[in-house]
Amino acid sequence: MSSAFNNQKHLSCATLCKYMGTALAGIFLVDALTSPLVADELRIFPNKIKLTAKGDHQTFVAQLVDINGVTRDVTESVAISIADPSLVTVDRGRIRPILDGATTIHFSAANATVDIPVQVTDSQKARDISFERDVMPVFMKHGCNNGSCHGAARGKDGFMLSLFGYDPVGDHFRLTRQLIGRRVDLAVPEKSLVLQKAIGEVSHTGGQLFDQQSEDYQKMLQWLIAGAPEDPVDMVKPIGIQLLPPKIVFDGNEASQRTVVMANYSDGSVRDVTSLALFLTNNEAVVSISGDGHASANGRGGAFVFARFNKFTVGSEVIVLPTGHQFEWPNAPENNYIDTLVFEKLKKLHLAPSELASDEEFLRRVYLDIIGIPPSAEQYHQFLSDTRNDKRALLIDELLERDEFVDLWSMKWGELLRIRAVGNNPQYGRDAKAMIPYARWVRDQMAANRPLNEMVAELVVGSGSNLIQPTANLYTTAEPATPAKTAEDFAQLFLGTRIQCAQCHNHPFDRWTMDDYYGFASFFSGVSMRRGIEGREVIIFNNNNAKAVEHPVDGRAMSPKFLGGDSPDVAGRDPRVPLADWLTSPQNHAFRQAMANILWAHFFGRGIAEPFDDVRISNPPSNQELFFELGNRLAEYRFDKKKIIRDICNSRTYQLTSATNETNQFDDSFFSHSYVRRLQAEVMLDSISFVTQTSDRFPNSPMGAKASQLYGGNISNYFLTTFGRAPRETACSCEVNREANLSQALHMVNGDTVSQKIASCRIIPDMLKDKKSPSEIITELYIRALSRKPTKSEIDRLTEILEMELSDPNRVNELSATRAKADSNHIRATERLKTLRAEWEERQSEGQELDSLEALSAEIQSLEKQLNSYEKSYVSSVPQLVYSDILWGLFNSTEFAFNH
Amino acid sequence: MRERVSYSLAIVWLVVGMTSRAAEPKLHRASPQVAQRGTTVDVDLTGYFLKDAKGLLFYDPGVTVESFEAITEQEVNGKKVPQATGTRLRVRLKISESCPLGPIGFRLQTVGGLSEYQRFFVSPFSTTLEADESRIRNDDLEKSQPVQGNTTVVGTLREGYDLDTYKLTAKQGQRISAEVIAARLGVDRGLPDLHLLISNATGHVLAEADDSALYLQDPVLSVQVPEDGDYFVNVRHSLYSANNDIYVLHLGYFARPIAVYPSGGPAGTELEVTIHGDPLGVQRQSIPLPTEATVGLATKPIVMGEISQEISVELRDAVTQSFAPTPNKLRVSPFGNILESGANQSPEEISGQAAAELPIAFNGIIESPGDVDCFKFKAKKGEQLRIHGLASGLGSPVDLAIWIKSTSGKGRSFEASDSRLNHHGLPGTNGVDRVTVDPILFFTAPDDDEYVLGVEDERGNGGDANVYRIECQSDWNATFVYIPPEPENRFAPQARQVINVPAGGRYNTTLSIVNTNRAYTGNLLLKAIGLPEGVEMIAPPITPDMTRVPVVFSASPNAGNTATFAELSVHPIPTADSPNPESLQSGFRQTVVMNSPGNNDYYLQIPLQKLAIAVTETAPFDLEVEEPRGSLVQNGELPLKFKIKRNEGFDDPVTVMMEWKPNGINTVTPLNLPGDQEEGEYLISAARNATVGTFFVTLTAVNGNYQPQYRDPNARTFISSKPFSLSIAEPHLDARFARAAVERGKTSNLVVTLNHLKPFAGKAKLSLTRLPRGVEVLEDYREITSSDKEVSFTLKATDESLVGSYRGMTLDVTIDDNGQVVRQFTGYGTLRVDAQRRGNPDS
Repeated sequence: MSSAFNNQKHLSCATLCKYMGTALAGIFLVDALTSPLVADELRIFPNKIKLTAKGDHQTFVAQLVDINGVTRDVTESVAISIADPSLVTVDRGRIRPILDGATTIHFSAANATVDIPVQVTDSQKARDISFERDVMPVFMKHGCNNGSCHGAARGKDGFMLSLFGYDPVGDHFRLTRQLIGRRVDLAVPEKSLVLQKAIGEVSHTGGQLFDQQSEDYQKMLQWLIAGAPEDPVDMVKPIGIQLLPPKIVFDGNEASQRTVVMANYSDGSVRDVTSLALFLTNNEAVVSISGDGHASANGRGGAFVFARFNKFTVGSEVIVLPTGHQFEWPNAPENNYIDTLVFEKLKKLHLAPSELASDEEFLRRVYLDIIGIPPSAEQYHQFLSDTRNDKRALLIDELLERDEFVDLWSMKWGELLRIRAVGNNPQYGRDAKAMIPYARWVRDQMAANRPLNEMVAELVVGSGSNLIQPTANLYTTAEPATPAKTAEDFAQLFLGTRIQCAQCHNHPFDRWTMDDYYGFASFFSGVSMRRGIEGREVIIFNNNNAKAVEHPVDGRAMSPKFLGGDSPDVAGRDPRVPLADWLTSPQNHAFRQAMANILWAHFFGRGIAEPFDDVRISNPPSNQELFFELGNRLAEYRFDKKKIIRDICNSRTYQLTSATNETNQFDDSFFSHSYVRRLQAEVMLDSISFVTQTSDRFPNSPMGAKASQLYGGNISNYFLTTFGRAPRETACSCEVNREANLSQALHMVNGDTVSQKIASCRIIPDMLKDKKSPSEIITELYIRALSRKPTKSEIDRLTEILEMELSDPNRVNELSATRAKADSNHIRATERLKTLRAEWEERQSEGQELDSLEALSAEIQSLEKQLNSYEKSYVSSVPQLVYSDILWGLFNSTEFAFNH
Repeated sequence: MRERVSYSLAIVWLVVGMTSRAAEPKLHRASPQVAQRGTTVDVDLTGYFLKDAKGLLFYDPGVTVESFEAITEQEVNGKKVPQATGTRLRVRLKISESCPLGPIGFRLQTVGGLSEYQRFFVSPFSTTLEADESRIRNDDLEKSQPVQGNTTVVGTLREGYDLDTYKLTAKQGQRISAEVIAARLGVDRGLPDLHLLISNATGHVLAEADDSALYLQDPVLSVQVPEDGDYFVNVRHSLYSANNDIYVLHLGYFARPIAVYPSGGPAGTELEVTIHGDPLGVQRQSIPLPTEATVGLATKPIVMGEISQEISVELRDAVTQSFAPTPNKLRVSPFGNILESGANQSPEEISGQAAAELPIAFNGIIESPGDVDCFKFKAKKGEQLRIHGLASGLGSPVDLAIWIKSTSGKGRSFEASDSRLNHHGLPGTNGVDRVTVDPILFFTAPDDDEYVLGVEDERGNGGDANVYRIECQSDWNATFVYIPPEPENRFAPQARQVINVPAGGRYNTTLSIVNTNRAYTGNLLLKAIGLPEGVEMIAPPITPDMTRVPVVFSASPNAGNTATFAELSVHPIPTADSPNPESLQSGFRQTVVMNSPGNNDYYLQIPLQKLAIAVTETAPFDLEVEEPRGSLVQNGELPLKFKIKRNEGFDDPVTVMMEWKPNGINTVTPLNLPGDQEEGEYLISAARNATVGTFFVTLTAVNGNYQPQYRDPNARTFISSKPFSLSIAEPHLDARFARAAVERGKTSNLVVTLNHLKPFAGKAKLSLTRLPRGVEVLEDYREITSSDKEVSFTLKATDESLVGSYRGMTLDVTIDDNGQVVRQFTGYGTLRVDAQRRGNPDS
C-alpha cells in the first residue's frame, strides 16, 4: 500500500528528473466521469471514426462504466454490428476500410449500447509514405533516438539521431547521405543496414528491436522502397494527440484496459497512432502499461499512464481500487469548495478523511503556518476558552493581519526570487545594497497584500538601477542572466514548469519543443546590464537592437513566443511588456495555477502537484479538479492571496487531524489527513526564540531581526544552515530542505543554540519567583513549547523526577557543582584562592610577620566570601536547572520540530 | 565618538620601536571633520609621524591654523592612556566667516614632509556631538537625542545595527531637512554608506533615503510636516554593517536644494535660477556668476572660446534665510544659455525655431518619464564640435543620452550616452566616476547644415529636478599629467602622491600623460610653476611614444622646510617643421581615491589640480650612481654600480630600484642592501627589441621595504639618485652557430661565425652559455678582437649528457666599453648529442 500511494516518482529516473519539464494542466482531457451514472454505460473510444486512405485502420477500445464509476475493458467481448458491412470490416479490435461511404457501428455490452459513426474516404488510394510521420515514430518507440542510444550528443557506435527527434531534417541527412551507401541501400532496400541492425540480422549493440513481420519493419521498408524520400516542406504535421480512454478506474489488481492513441494533424485529419506511440506510467506500483498500450492494475492508488508520439505527451488518469472493497464514505462535513473537491477525489479512491483536529492541534498548526511562530500561553488560553462557533475562522482572519504573516511570505518570495547578496561580484549587481531594498520591496508588496499578478507584472518589466528600482533585481539574481537561463527561471517560477530539457531537444516528458524554449527565451534577448555610477550599481535595460536568440539547430533568429501561447507583436517595444500582460493575465491558467499551488504547498507541505515548480504532463497534480479550481478562484479573487489562504485554512481538509485511519494511513498526496511536516529552519529558530523570549543577532540585519526577516539567502547561521535554510542560489523549490538529519539532532541536543537560549530565558526563573507549583510550571512549559497541556502521565512522571532531583541533597550538590564548573567567574576565583593560599602558607613558613600578611589575608577572606555566595546561588538555581532540562526535552521532542 | 580601547592600544604597540627620525607623516583621520564657519575648533589628527608639525597645507581658502599641540595621553573609558609619540596631534583651526561651505582638503606638513590628503567640512550651523557616550543609546524614539533646528551633529554608528535617533520639534507646514555627510568624509578602508529616515512621533515614516543623486551614498531629505509635533530623524548604516562609522548630520529647518535650473550660465551675468527639491515649492533666485575662475594655481578670466568652469554656489533659503549646508554645483561658461522652450518634444516641434549659433549651452529638465527634448543649432562642414552633456557630474539624477540628426534628414545620426575619464582630463582610477555617466559627443559636421540635438534619459526616468545642460562648442585638446597609482599602493592608495624632497637631496616620481581627445604628436617639455625656493625640477622631453615620464626634484641644501602647491604644464617643443607650435591646455590632475569597500574599488574620487610639494629635513642617506660609460646593448646586460652614502648612525637596510624604465628595459627586482653595506650593483637588461637611444633615468633608494602595508607604521624616506644617461645601443656582435654534433664521452669542435656590427677597442671575452646538461666547454672563454671573424670552442659530452638534439646555446660576450663592462648575448646554436658508438667487432 505504501508504494501504491508513493506516486510521481517512478518515471523521474535520476538522470532525467531534474530536466523534466511540465505540462500546463489545461491540456488534460475533461473528466467524463464527474456526473454519477444511473446505470452501466458503454463507451467506445474514439467515438467517431474516419478512415481516409487505403490500408488505413482504426483501433477501438470499449469501456464499460458501472454506476460506481468503475471501468471494465470489454473490447474483446463487445458485440459489434455494422450497419453497412460493405464499407468497413472489423477484425481483432481494428476497423479497416473497404469502400468509400458513411455508416454506423453498433456496439453492445451488458445492457448498454452505443452507435459510432464511421466515414470512409479515399479507400482506394494509399497514403504516401512519410519519413517524419511514419519512420521517425519507429525510432522514438524503440528508443533509438533516446539519450542512451543514438540520441546521445555524439550518437552511438558512429550513428547519431537527434534526441527524441528534434531535428527530422538532420536525421534524414544522417540516415541517407552522411555515409553514402552505408545506412540505406536503395538498390536492395532489405539489405539496408538500418533495417538489418533493427531486426538483429547484423550485430547491433541495441539488440533486435523488431522482426520482419512487424508493422514497424514494414513501414521502414516501404519508405526505403519508395527511395527514402525526404518529406515535402508543406508536409502535414501533428498538432496534438489524445490518449483514450481518458480515465480508468480498475476494480482490483487483476484488471486491465486497452488504450488507443489518436493524433490530430494540421490538415484536420485524425489518425490512429497506437502502434507508433510510446507508453509510460508514472507509478508502476499502481499501474503498468505495455508497449502496445495495455494498462494493467498493479496496486491500490491513483496514477497516470502516458502516451508519447512525435513531440506530444498526454496522460490518462488511472485509479485502482481494492478488489471488491466495501467502502463507506463517512459523510464528513464540507466547509467549502476545497473540501468538496478533495472529498470527491477521496471518495473515488475509497479513502476516508481523518477526523477534525482538536483545538490545540489546530491552534499550533495555524499559528506556525500563518505566522511562523507558535501561540503564546495567553493566546492558547484565550483560544481554548473561546466558545464562539466560528472561533477558528476568526483566528485565521486575525493571524492574516499579523506582521509575521508578512514576514513569512516575504521570506517565501525571497526564496522564490532568490534574494541573496553576493558582495564580491559587483558586476552582477547583487550587492546587499541592492538586495536589501529588493527584499524590502517584496515585503512592501506582501504587507499591502498586492495582487500577485500585479506584483509579478511589475517585476517582469523591471528596469533601471538595481539600487533605485528594486524590481530591476529580478534580472540580477541569475548568474549570468542569459535569455535562456532567464526563460527557464520564469517558466519554473511563474508557470510552475521546467523547460530546461527543451534547451537541447524536445522535452521527452512534456510538450515543450526547442521552438517553444527559444521562442520564450527570445523575450529576454534584449535584457542587458551595464555598470552604473558606483561599483555596486548596475543598470538593467532592454535593448531592442540586441542580437536575437538563435535556434541552435538551424540558426533561425527566434521571435518572442509565449510559452504555450501566441507570438505577440513586439516591434519597437520592450517585449517584456506583452510578456507581463500575458503571463499575469487571469486567463493564463498556468500562472494562476502555479501561484495557487505555491500557496497550497505552504499549508500542506506539498503542492497539489509536487514539486510545485515541476508540473508536467508526466507529473500531474494529484487532484486535478482542485488544482484547476484553486487557480480559478485565485483569478476570481483578483490574485488576492489572503483570500485563497483563508479558503485553505477554513477548509475541513486543512483542519483534519494528522492521525490517520485504516484507509488513509498511507496517503501522502490526496490530502485525506494533515501531513506531518518538519518546521522550516527559520520557523524553527524563531519558534525557539519566541518560546524562550530571546532574540538572535544576524549580520547585515537590524537589531532583533527574526530568522524569517532575513533579507537574503547569504545570511545564515549554523542552526539555519543545519536545518536546511534555502541558500537561494537557484530557482528550484528543492532548496528549502525539510529533511531531518543527524547534525540537526546533534545540534538540538548539544549545540549552543538551544542551550544558550534556555540559559538566557527568563520564563522559568520568573515562575519560580512567583512560587508556582511544579505542575503549573510544567503545564506552562508544555503550552508554550507544544501548545498543549501535558497529559496526566507526563505531569506525574515529570513531577516525580523533579521531586527526586530536588529532594536529594547529594543530587542538588552534584547539580550545583555542574553549574560551578560551567561558570568562568567561579573557576577564576577558585584558582586565585588556591594561589593566594599557597602564597600565604609559603610566606608563613618563611616566618613573615602577621602584619605583613594582612592584605593577603583580607583578599583571601573576600574571595572565600565571594565563592560562598556563588555556591549559594548555584544551589538556589538548581530548580531552574531542572526545569530548564524539561524545556530542553520539549525542544528536543519530535512534536516540537514538526507541524502536525 | 568614543575611541575604542583596542584601537588606542594597537597604536601604542605598533609604534614601539619606531625610530625617532622624522619621516613622511601618515595622516589617518581628523576628528571632528566638521566645524561651523566663523568659529575656532580643536581637531585631533591621528596617524604616525605627526610630530614636528609645520602647518596644514589647505587646498581651499578660509581656514587657518592657530596652534598645534602634541597629545601624549588620551582618556579612554575614564582612564588616561599614554599615546605613542607622533600618533596624535591637536590642531586649533580658525574658520573664517567667509570660508566657503562644504569640503576643504588639506595635508599636514611636518619636518618629514606632507601627509595624505584629508577632508574637513565647513558647516553654516553650530555643531554638537551625538550623546551616545553613556550606556543610554539613542536607538529609538523614546531614547532619541533632542537637537535644536539647524544643527550639525557629529555621530558614530558603532555596530552594524546601531541606530541614531534625533528629535526635532516642528510646526505644521514647516520644513524639516536632513543631510548626511559620511561617504564624503572619506575613509581609507570601508564605505560609510548611511541611510536616513524621518518619522513622526508614532513612528510613521514621512520620508527615507538611502542615497541621493547629489551626493551618491550620502542621503538628503526634506519634508514638510503635516502637524505640530516632535519629529525624529534616524541614521543607520544602509546595510546594517557599520563599524565605528563617523558621520556628520545637518539637521534643521533649512532648505536642501537638489537641483538648480539652469545649471550654468555665462560668466559675469546674474543668472536667474529656479531651485528644486524643496517641499515648500520651487524657489527663484538670482546668482551672480563670476567672470574668472581658478584653475590650478592661477585665477584667470573666463574668455570666449575657452572651456567652462565648475563652481560651487551656496544657496540661501528665502524662507528661513539659512544656507543649505553644502553647496550645489553650477557651470560658468564663456558663452550663452538657451533654455528649453517647453514645446521641444520632437524635431518637428522645433522646426519653426531658429537654429542656435555655437558655442552655446542648452539647458532643460527631463520632466516626465520618456521625455525627449530637442534643440536646433547650426554647424559648418568639417567643424569639429564637442557636445558635452552635463547631469550626473552636477548631481542630477538624469542618465543622459544625446543624439544629433541633420534637420535636412541627410546623413546618419550620431549619439553618445557616456564619456571616458580622459575626455574630462581626468586620470583613470579604479571605481566608477560619475562624470563618465555624462555623455560627450565628438561631432564633426558632415555639411553646412542645421542640426537637431536630442536629449533623453537613458533609463527613461523623469522628474522636476532632472536638470541637464549641454555645452556645445568647438573641440579642443589638452594634455595633463598625473602621478599614476602603482600596484603596491593597494594598501595605501595615496602613497607617493606628494613630492617630499629632502633639503640637499633629490626625490623622483613618474608622471603619466592623459590626453583629453587626440594625443599630441610632437615632443613636449614639462615645466613647473610655483616650486618652493631652492627646488628645481629636472625632466626629459616627452616624446610621442612615452606614456610616462621620469621627473626628479632636487632641493638645495639650504632650502627651508616649506610646503606649497606647484602647477605642472607641458609645452610643445618647437621643431624645424613647426617653429611656433600652438600652446596646449595642460596642467596637473590627480584623483585622490578613498572609500574602498573591497576589490580595489574606490567610491570617493576627489580630483585635485595642484601638486603638493614640500622640502623636508635632510635625508639620513644619499644615493650615488656611477653613470655607465658604455652602452647597454640590445639582448645584453649592464650592471649599474651605486653607493649608499649613510649619515652617521643610519644603518637601516636600503632598497634600490629603477622606477621608470625605457621601453624594453628590465631590471632585477628591487635590491635590498643590508644596513652594513654601502655599495652594490643593480643589474639592468635590454630586450632584443629595446628602443635604441639615450635615456634620462634615475635610481631610487628607500629605507626599509618599499611596499607599504595598510596603515604601515614604518618610516620611509625616498631618495633619488642624480638623473643620468643610459644609452641603449645595437649589439656589437652578431654570432652564427654552425651545426654541431658530439658523441657521448668524446669531444667535438663548435665553430661560431662573428659578424661585427659595432667595433670595440681591446679584447672581448666570449663564452658559451645555456649548454645542455652534461655538455662542457673545455675553454673557460675565448678572447677576440674586432677583427676576428670566427671563434671555436671544444665541447665535451660527458656520460651525464642526454642523447638528442638540443637548441638554445648562446654566446655570452663581455666587452670593456670605455671602462664599462658591457655584456651581450648573441646567437642561437643547435647541438646534437649522439650515443656512444660501439666498438667495431672486426677491429
